[in-house]
Amino acid sequence: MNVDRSLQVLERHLFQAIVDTAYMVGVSAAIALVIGVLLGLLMYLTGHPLLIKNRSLYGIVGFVINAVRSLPFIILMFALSPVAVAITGRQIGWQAATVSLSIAATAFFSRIAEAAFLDVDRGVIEASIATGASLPLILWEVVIPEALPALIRGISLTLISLIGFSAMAGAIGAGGIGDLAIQYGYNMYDDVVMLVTVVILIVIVQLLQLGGDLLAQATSKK
Amino acid sequence: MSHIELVDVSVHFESKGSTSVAVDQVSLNIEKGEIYGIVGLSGAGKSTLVRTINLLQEPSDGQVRIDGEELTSLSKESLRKKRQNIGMIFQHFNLIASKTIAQNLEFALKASRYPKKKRKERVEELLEIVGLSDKANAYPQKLSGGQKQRVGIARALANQPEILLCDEATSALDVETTEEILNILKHINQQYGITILFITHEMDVAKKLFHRMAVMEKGQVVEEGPTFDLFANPQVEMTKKLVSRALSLDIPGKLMENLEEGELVNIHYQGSGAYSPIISTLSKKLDVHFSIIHGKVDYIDGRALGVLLVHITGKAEEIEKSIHLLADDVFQIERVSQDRTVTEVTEYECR
Repeated sequence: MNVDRSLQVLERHLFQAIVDTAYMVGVSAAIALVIGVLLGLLMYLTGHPLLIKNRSLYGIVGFVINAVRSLPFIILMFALSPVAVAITGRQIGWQAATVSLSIAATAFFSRIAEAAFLDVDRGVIEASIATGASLPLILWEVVIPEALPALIRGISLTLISLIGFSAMAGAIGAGGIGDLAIQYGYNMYDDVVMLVTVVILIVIVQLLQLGGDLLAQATSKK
Repeated sequence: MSHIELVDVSVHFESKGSTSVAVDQVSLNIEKGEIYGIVGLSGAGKSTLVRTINLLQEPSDGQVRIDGEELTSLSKESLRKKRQNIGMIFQHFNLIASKTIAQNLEFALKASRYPKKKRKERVEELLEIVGLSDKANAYPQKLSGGQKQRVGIARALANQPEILLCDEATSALDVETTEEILNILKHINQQYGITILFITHEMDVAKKLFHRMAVMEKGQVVEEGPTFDLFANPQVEMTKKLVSRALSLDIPGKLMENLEEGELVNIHYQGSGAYSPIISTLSKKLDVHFSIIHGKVDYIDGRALGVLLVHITGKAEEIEKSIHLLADDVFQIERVSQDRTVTEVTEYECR
């Protein structure tokens, strides 16, 4: 095995791969975070009998999210390629991949956010309603702060899934760490590249999990 | 006009095509400044009923009126305002875990748009009322159950409500803490004239706190009246069951076997009768002997209700005489048969 050649490959591609992954994951996570929280909140509010009960809206949003989530990411990515072209003007590259990554992550995170909101003690919500508080006040002062630790855990979960999804983005030439592992490590039997990328992925995932746990713990008063 | 009026309130729950009736045509009038209790076994519909009063539970049928104003027809905004006038405390306290005690109270003030500058002062005032001034910056997790409920009370009082709803507010607390909470409730009832509606399955709470009460069974109110009357002279089976358990008048079977001759009578006395020396007077007057098997004086809503189980021995006619004389002096007297399984009761006309 030619270790020198492996090191050459890593030297030439590793930094760019990490940057590409960071872009894909960062941009799509940011989008998923904002839209996902809103969708999760919408589902929570429309599903709650005492807030804005609206069964049909709840049903529609839930159906769309489930539809997105039922497709394996690789299929979703090809299916959304016209959308990616329309938005980014590109058919390949990390920008194109980010479109489908964002949509997949949004669907994923919105369910997690909904679960986090549902986990807020119903009694506390009822007590807040009983004090005569307005809906915005209940949202800002009760629902969101009480759900925050669970939301933070959900964010690290979503980031970790996104790193997994982004490996498949190599299929449309998006680059990234996963792509490097497949291109050189798997297709060209370069075990050193494979090992290095695997270690990097493990470290990133561990750090994300640890960071999420610590942050969740810090915000939890329980 | 009563403070709170429930008119034919029903609540139905639909699930999987079948309808269950949680509250069945309940009508109640609760007067201003009274402490009104609703008792019943769990599942009787008490909690569902109390939740209709601030519309946490929309009634399927009937009317809920406060000061004559119908709540179900209010706009969202007016209902919100109305709710600020109805405090509520809960079995599990329901405090916001991510906020300090002071912030929990401040939340209720924000809900009513209480002037920002005066909030701190009001929070301190509220903490003072419930004796938790030193816990302002603690998180709920750090408090004991009794302290949490006191925060709950302070929160409920934040906007100076005229009504306080208590949903099993002491059921998660131990006996001593319950006593403490009941004293605070009595105090705020007297101090501020707040009408209190208290739901519980604990008859001990009923005895100590309620002025009037209703007994619920299967979604219906089966008996209603002054608390003392319901304890002293329950009419329906459910009330009798709840009351006898609370007064714990069970007679051990072993004891009955040992009483061979004479008569066993159960005497209920109340009010001023509780203080006159009935038994000793009689035993001087007649040639009978009394042995006290079981006795208890309970104070219900501040009035004495005594129960005494006495075994009378002596000549048969003397015993008869003594029972009749006793009947003149006490509220109620029952003859208890020697057969320990069946407690046969003969009631006399009492004064």
